[in-house]
Amino acid sequence: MKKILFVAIFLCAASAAFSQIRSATLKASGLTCSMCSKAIYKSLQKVPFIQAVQPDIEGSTYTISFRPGSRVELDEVRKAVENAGFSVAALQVKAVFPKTAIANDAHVSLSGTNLHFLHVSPQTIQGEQTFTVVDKSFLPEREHRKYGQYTKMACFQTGRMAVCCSKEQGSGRIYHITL
Amino acid sequence: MRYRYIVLLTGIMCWSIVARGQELFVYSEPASNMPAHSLGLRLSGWLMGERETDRLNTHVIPELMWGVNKRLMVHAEGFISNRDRSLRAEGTALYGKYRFYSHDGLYRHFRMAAFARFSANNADIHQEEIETNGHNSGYELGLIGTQLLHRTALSLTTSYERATDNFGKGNEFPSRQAGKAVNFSLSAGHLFWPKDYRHYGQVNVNAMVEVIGQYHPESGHAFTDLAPSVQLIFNSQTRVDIGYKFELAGNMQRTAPNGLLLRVEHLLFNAL
Repeated sequence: MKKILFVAIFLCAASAAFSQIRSATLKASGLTCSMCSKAIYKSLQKVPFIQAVQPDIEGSTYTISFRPGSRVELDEVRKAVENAGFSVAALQVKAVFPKTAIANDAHVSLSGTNLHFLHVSPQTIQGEQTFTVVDKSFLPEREHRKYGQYTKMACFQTGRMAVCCSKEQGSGRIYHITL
Repeated sequence: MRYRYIVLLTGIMCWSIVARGQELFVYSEPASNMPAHSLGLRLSGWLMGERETDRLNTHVIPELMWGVNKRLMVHAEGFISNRDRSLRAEGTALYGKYRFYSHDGLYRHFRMAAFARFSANNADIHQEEIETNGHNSGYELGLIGTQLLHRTALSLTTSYERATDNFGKGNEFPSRQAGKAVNFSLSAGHLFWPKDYRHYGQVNVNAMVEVIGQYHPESGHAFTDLAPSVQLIFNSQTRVDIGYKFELAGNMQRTAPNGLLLRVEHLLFNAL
């Protein structure tokens, strides 16, 4: 009985951990018409960890909710838009953080996703936060380059953790974000 | 006559710069591609009046289109016409378009693509005009540049087209005819409806105008056509085009340059 209880608690904790990235608002660029918008909408719907997509055709925006318990891979969201023939203009992600101290260049792992904070003052965050992904291809090129001034780390160009940080868990992919 | 034509062309170009439009052109392909892994079904019917007789030339072109990935799409085309009095299959073609440049902004983009068509046709060659999309065996290689700015869409296409012998005895390419052509088209679109997008079920009504030309360097013969059209899009997935093409000016021998185009097209997302 104790074993069953222990496994149940473990599974709940694990699923809670993977539920930390909850939803996102995506703005797409390169389109005006509803046929183009529908192409993105259909492409996002096919992403396995996306539960629902609510389009705003006029605003070229999509409100995305992620499946609870799924591992969210932000690159797959971007690829869905690019496969439809368009680009990501902005991706704002809502996630729940445990009590976390952050500062410029801070690395945080959330639900197996590596995050590198840029252009944030030293602070402690906790609970639901909204962050914007500032990596290449998640912002217009000019906007993305502006964030380069806040770090000297090579990962900003490559999107992958450098040797200095590769001991941390994860696939090596690191997303650069700001609040 | 030539002066009036230049004024008209300039007027169309100026109008097209301030117009609000769509890039799903009727007589030409934009530089944008279909979504990756999608399948398109297209059926085009050309009803063209013969210049020398009172006959109506009917050409039916079914197409199967595949978005291979975000940059590449291919079409398989079939050609059916009533040149022999009754409708019969005359040929086939493979068309491919590769988008090699894309710069996206909010409600805007500039794209460039390269395309190629390889055709096989077994009809008799009855005109100077070269058209590998339904009349001639041969190939066409071209470039497209498309600018979308809010609801304004402008596209420029240029290509080199080469006609070879058509299949079948007696269908060889006439030796005294020019077998090479340079093509251009300038396209613009206007979105009339809806004024505001609220859902994917709204019918879109677009109007397009395209200027299409061909020049044969070997003979110096050329033509320029004007092709206005109206397009309806249903459920953001099905398209119906109605266009009328007519010759503005030219000195090339053409069998049936003026007439109607009716097209229906349906897109299947995530099909492959």
